[in-house]
Amino acid sequence: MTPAGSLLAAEGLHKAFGRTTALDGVDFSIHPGEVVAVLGPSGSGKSTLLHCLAGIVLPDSGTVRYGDHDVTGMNDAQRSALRRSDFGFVFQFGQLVPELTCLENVALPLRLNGVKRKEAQRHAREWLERLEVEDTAGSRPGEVSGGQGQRVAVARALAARPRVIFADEPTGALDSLNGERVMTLLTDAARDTNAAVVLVTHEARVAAYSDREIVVRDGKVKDMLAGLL
Amino acid sequence: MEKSRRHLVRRWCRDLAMGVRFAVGGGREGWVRTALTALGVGLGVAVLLAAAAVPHVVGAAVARDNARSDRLTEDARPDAHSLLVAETHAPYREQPVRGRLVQPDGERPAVPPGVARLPRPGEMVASPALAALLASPDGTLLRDRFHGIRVVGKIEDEGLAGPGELAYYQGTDRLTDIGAGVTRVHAFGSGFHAHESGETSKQPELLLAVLVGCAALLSPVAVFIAVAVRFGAERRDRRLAALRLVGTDRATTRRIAAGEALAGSLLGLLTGTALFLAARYPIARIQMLNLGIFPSDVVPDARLATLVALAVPVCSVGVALFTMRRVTVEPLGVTRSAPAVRRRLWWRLLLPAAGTALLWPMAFGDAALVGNKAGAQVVVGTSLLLLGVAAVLPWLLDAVVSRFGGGGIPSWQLAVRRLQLSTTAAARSVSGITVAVAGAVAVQLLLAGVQSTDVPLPHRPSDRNQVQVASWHGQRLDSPSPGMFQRLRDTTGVRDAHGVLFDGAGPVPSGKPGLAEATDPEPYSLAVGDCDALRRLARIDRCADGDVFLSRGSGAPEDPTGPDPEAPRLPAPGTRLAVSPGYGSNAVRHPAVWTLPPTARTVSPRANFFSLGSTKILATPGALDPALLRSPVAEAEVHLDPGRPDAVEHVRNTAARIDPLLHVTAPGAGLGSDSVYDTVSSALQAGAVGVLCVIGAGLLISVLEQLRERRRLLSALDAFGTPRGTLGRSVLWQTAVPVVLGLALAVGCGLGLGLLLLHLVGKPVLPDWFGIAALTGSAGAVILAVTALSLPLLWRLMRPDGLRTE
Repeated sequence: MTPAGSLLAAEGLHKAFGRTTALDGVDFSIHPGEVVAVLGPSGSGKSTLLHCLAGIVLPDSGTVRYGDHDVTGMNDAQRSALRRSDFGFVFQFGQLVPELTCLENVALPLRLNGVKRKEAQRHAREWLERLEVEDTAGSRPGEVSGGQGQRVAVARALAARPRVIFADEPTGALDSLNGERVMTLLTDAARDTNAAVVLVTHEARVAAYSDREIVVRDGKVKDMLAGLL
Repeated sequence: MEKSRRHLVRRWCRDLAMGVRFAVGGGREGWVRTALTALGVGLGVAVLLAAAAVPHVVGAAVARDNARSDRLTEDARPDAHSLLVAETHAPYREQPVRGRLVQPDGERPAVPPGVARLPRPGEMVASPALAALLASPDGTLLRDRFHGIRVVGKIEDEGLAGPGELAYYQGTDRLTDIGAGVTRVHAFGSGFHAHESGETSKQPELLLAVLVGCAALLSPVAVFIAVAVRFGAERRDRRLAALRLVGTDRATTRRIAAGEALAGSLLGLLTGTALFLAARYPIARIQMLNLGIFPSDVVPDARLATLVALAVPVCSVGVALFTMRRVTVEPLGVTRSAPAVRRRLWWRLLLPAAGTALLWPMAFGDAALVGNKAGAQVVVGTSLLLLGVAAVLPWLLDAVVSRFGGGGIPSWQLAVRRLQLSTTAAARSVSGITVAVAGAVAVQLLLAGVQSTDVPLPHRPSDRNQVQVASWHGQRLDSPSPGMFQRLRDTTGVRDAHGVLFDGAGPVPSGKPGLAEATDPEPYSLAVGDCDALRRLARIDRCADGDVFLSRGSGAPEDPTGPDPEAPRLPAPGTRLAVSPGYGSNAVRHPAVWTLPPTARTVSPRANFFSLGSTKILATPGALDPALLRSPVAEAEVHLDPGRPDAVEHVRNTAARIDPLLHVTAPGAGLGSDSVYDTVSSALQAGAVGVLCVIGAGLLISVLEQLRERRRLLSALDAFGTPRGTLGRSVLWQTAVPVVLGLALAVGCGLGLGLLLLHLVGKPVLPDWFGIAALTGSAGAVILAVTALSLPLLWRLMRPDGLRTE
C-alpha cells in the first residue's frame, strides 16, 4: 500500500543482474516537494534503485507507483512518456547532448513534449537565467566549464516542470564550491516548484541538502530518519 | 654512434610495441575496436587481392582460348594432321554457344585441347555446362538442335575459356573443302590469335573504359581502407592526448599511433587474405561474362599482391599520422573544447586539379591515348580526380550544414547540430560511396557515349521479331533453296519468311588472249526471288514472275547523298551479263550468260534486312533460272510471332537441321562491338555493386562504432523519455544529409570526369540518366540498409547500462 500522501512509492523491489542482487526487497516513498538523499557505498544498488523508481528499468518483482499509476505495469512507451512529462534527470557528467547549444539542451525536453521551438527556448532561457548560466545559452556543452555544464543539466531537468527530479551524483564531477552552488540551485528550484527530488550520492555534504536520507547497502534500504525515531 | 643507433632502434621498437599493445589490449572494448578495424581493412584487402588476380584470370582464359584457336592458318594444304573445322553460329537464349564441326582430313588429325578423341559423325563432345544444360529441362529446345547427335565425351578444363562456357565439337563428314566457313587446321593454337590481332589496341575507348573502371572501382576501396584504420579514432585520440599529458613527446606519440595502426592493418591483411581465400570458390561460381571463372585461375599476381601487402600497412600508418595533427594535450576532455575550425578548401582542390592537369592535355591537347605511359596517365589522373571527391566532401559538408538553422523537429535538430559540431565522421562514412558513385557515373557516361557511335547498320531493321537466316558464299546446301525457305516458313513461331538468292554478275569475259578483262568481274549484285521477296529490297509496285528490276543505292533513310558515286552504273537493258563469273582462283572460264531483258525497270531501293551491295539487279525466277547461279548465298528474312518468345530458337533448330553452318542473326546480335561494350559495362557494373556492398559493410561497422561511442548519451536521452523514433530518425537524417550531398557531388564530378574522358576519345555526350539514377539509387539503398541495420544496436544502447558510472 502506498504511504499516505506520497507522490512516488516503491514496495518490495527486487532486481538482480545475473547472480548479483542489486535490490533485495526495497521499500521507498517520497512526497511532493521533499528531497530524499539515497546514500550508500559504490555498488550498493543506489543507481539501480533510482532507475527502477524512474521506470528506466523494470524490477524483477515489486511495484513502483507514481500517483495513481502503476509504473511497473506500464509498457516502454508509456514509461517513456511519463519520464518526458513528469520526471527530470540530472547525471554525474551532465550528459548534455554535445552537439546542441546549452539553450537547445534545456529546451529539448519541452520540444520532445511537443512545445513549439520559440516557446520552448523562451522557457529554457528563463531557467538558464535562474540557474545563473544565461551567458552559456549559445555555447555548446564542450565549450563551458564543468560547473556551468552541470547547472545547464539542472536547468534541463527542471525546464519541463517535472514533479519528480532524479539526480544521480549530480556533483560527482565538480569541486566543492561548484557542487554546493549546484545543490543550492537544484533544491531551491525543486522546492519552489514543489517537485520531489531523489538524490543519489555518496557524499554526506551533498546529502545535507536533503530533508531525509536513506542508506542502501547490499540491496537493502535503511531509512535514517526511521532509525533515529 | 653505434650505441645511440641501437638505442634509437630500441626506442622505436618499444614505442611501436606499446602501440600494438594498445590496439590488442584494453579488454573487450579494445579487442572489438581492433577486430572492426581488421574486418574493415580485411574487406578492402580482399577486394584488392581479387583485383590483383584479374590479370591471371584473364591471362589464363586467353591462353586457353589461344590454345584451341582454329582460325586462319597459313598452310591450307591437307596433310597427315589436318582437320577440317567449321564454326557454327547458334547462341541459345542469348547465351553464346561455341560450336565447331570437325572432320578429319588426315590420318592423325589434330585434336583440340581438352578433348580425348575427335567425335565421329553423329557424335559430339560437350563442355560440362553444355552437357548439363542439355540434360536439364531448360535445354529442351537445345536438345532438338542436336537431334540424333550423341554426346560421347566432355571437354576438359584446358579446352574451355571458363567453367560456364557452352561449347561443343560435333563430328561430321559433310565438309568438303576450305572456304564457305570451313578452315583447315594442322594443329590447334598455331594460327591466328584474337589477342594478337591488335583488336583491343584499336579500341582506345574500350581500353579507356577498362582503365577508368579499374581506377573507379579501386579508388573507393583505398578510401574505404583509410576509413577502416580510423575506426575508434576518437577514443584513440583521447588516449594519445592522455599520453601527451603525462609527458610523452610528439615523436613518441606518433610512433605509438603508428604501432597501433600497424597492428590493425596487419590483422586486416591476415583477415583480407583469409576472406579472399574463402571467397575464391564462391566467387568463381558466379557466371561472369557468360563463362565463369575457374577457381584455380583466381591467383593474385605476385607483384600486385606484394604491392598490396606493403601499401596497406604503409597507407594505414600514413593516414593515422596525418589525422593525428589535431591531437593536443588536454586533460581528457575536462577542459573546454574550442569551436571547430573551418576546413580549408585550397589544398583539397589540389587532388582534382592534379588529376585534371594530367587528363587535360590528352582531352584538349595533342597528347594521344597510346602506350603504357598514356594508360598510366589516365589511371593516375582519374584516381586523383576521384580521390579529390573524397577530399572535397568534408569541406562541402561543413559549408552546407553550417547554413542550416537549428529549427525543425527534434530529430532533425539533433542530426543537424551533430553534423554542425563535426562532419568528420559523417564525411568519412560516405566518402567511399561517393568516390564509387563518381567513378561509376564517369564510366557509364563514357560507355554510353562510346556505344552511341556503334549504331546498327542502317539497312538492318531493328525489329526484334525479325531474324535473318543466311548461308555462306559458296556453301552447298543439302536442301534446295525453295525447300529451305519453305521449311523456315513451316517452323513453329514463324509468321512468314521471304527468301532471296544472291550472287554476282559482270561483263561477259572476252575469252580472247591478250584482251584486258574488267577490273571487277562481279560489279553487280544479283538477287533472285519471288515478287514478295524482291519488294523487301526495293519499292516495286507492279511485279509478276518474269520481271526484272534495277536499283542503285542502299535505300537507307539517312543516306542523303544518294547512291555511292563510286558504285558502278547500272547496266543498260539488253546487256549480256556473265552470271557468277567468280574471280581470282575461283573464276570460271565459261560462265553462264544471261541477257538483261529490255523490259527491266528501274526502281528505288528500300532499307532491308538483306546484305546486298548498292547496285542490284533484281530478278524473278521466271526471268533468271536460279539453277544458273553457281554459288549463291541464300538469305531469308524470317518474321516471328511476337507471342512466341522462343520462336528464334525454333528457327535456329530448323536452320541447324537444314545445315549447321547457316547463320541465324537476331537483331542486336553481332552488330558492331556492342557485345564487347555490354560485357565491359556488365563487368564494371558488377564490380561497382560489389564495391558498394563492401563499402556498405564498412559503413555499417563505422556507424555501429559511432553509436557505441555515444552509448552514455543515448542512455541519458532515453532516461528523460526521448522516443526511440526520434533518435532513429535523427540517425537517418544524420546519414541522409551527408549522403545526399555526397551523391550530388559524386554525380557532378562523375559527369565532369566522364565529359573529360569522352572528349579524350572524341565521342558524343549522351548521359544515361536512368542508369545514373539507378546507380545513385543503389548507393542510397545501401545507406538506408545501413541505417536500418544499425537501429537494433541503437535500441540496445538506449538502455540504462550506459548511465552506470561506477
